Amino acid sequence: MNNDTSYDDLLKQYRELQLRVTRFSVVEQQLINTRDRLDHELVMYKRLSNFNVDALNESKECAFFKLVAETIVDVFEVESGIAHVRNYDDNGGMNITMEGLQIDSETRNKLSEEISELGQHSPQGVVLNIKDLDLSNYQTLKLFAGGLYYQYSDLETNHTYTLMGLISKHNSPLYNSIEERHLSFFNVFINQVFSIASNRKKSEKINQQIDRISRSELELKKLSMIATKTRNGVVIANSEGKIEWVNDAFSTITGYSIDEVKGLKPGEFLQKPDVDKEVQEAISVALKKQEGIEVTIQNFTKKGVPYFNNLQITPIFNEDGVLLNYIAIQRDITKEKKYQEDLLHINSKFELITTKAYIGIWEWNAETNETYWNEVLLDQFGFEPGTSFVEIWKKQVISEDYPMVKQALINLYEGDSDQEHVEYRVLRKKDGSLRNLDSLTIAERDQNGKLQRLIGNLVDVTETRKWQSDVLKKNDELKKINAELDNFVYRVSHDLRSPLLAIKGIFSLIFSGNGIDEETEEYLKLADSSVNRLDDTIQEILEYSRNSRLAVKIEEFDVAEIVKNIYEDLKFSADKEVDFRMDIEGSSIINSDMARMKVLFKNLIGNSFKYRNKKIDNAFIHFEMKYVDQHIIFKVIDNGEGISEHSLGKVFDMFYRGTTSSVGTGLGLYICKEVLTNLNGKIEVDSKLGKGTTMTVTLPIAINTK
Amino acid sequence: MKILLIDDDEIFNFVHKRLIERIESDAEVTVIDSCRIALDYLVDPAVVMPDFIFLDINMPEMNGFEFLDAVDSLPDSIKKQMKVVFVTSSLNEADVTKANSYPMVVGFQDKPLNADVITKLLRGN
Repeated sequence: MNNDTSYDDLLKQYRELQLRVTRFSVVEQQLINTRDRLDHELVMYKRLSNFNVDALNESKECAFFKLVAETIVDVFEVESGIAHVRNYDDNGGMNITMEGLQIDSETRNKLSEEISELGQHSPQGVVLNIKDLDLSNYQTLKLFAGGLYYQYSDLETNHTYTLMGLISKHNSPLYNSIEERHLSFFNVFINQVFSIASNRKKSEKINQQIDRISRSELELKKLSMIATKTRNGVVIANSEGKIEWVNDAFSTITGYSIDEVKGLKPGEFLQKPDVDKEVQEAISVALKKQEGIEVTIQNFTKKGVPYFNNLQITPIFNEDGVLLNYIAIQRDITKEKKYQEDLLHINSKFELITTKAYIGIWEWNAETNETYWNEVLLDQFGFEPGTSFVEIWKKQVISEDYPMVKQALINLYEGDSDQEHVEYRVLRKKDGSLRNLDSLTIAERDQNGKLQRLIGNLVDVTETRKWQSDVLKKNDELKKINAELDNFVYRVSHDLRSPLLAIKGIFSLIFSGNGIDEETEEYLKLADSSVNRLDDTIQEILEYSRNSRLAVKIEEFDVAEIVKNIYEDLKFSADKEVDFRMDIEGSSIINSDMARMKVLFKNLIGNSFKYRNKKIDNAFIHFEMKYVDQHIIFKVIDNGEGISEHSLGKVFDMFYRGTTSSVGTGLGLYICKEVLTNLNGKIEVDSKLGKGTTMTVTLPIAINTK
Repeated sequence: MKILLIDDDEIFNFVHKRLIERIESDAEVTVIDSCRIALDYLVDPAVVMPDFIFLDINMPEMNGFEFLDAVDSLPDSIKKQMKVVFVTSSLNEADVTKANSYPMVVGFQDKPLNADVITKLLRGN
């Protein structure tokens, strides 16, 4: 029994671990998502930055707009990019530059006209999502399902510029939908484009020398533009490292306004001397060498709240290689860091549990084909710590079981199942012992059903199996002993009863014959009743012994038939007519322990008979059976002697006898109570002295009927 | 009417024989106290087959069930017309179930038989 319990416990721990594996992957996935998002943002910034460098170097206007269209496609990952320029001075001269659209010149002209038309009905200077515009009247434009739209009129030059990133209806499933962040990025991009474009116009009017100066001005302007929009903190410091400018995000993160920190070195107020000393050292070394550096450092806000800062410092040089500024971009990665720490924490806890519980763990990443396993797993297979587990494990699985293991893995790999539970045997490499491993493998798939990883848990159940087979063996032995004991009890009762019944036989021979005087007959009747009493006692002791020792055996039988037989037997010994009644509502066929129920009914009906009111002529015994809710109710009702109030509470006690009016052992009702304990039922008595008794038996229907 | 009693307990044999003879005055009651001897008796061609065999279960050497198993190998002419009533002081339900599995068993009675039961058995048929 204890072995079963510990196996259940193991199983419970094992399930809990599975749950932890799942939670662990959820946290990991959250981290990956965060990282991916940040990476993606960074890529967009890099592309924008590349665009700036290229755009500034481009002198021809058409090439500039070509670059703009290309950048729209590159940065915003849309299907096609359009830069449309309209001069509303000289009768709407138009110029359209496109990237990613395969159309003939006629359609191209049509599209150009439609954009011009759309511009007159759409707001200026706002980034819009294409899907928010009504394009149903535009033959060409209505083919696009989504994208970005912006138009701007330059009053100085009398030009209207329209920039669009488009995704056609036809290809829209292949592209990410346009989100809020696209719109704000587009805004940044547009600011860049127009500052470059307008400056380009202006720069045409100034000479090469001035052009060079304005270019570096532009550089700063564009940088501050990006810096203003970004959620990352941006610090521009002079060549000595003293702050010249910070963006709003910096103030939001640190709590310091630009006025508070201007002229200070960031390290003086963001860092604490004793926190991340080595990192601080590395920064100052890099700055001395006028080199860029990227580090993660713990900083403190104005209020003293620590946060993890991913810091990227870039030195800016002029064309003569003289250091002008430092630009520092700081990203608050506290959340990311916390995820990472949580993950490490969970991981180490997980490791501890798996080691303590001796659970082998492996994980295979379908994308990278990388496999992870713990030391326990190696030990389960009997490999030395540090062995590469991949491939070699198969050799330890005994050949008989290997096909089953392989099939389970194939099922998971091919998507036929998400979970495989197999038990197989391995020959432990270290000591050659045969071990039973209980293996649960779970497949994790993405929303498209593509396999991402397989996670396996292995528990060595060799000992458990051994216990179980021991328990089974012991159980068999016990059953054998029980059966022998049962047989013994029958033998003993038989051998005790035989001589007794022989006496009874002789009495019946005497009573059925003639020629005995009244007095002798009286004596013999007393002797006969004494014999009956002894026989009753033997039978009851046998019943008690059987009920307490034998397992409940459920079988189908007919209650009515049993009651009828009991009635038949009793009819013989009645001196006066007794009315035996039976009332059954619903099926009298039930599934229960027949032997026990027989004992129960025999005792209850027998009592009603034994203690019937011999003074009256209308004595009855009424057996009732009906179904109520989830229970079967049996009632044995009589109008017999009844039970006195002070005896009522004790009638189910062992050896208690409530009356001397008839012979008995005081075991009958005690046995009834014990029988019902075994069958999850209950028995209640209701009685009035001189009126009669009602015994009510309640059995749960669940196991006691079909 | 011919009745065979097979029981190792001579008191029961005495009681049952007397009771039967009282109820059926022309009954011819044979008493055998061992199953082995009873088997020999039944295969004896000189013996007239009894109308009823009253058979005890618990007996030394060969018990009532073993006796019926042995009867099973006898020729059909003997076992086909055999009517067996178990008469026992066993309280084991399993014995009742087992007894009913033999086609020649027509009754199962508690010891001792009384006049009513005998009357019913012999006249009921």
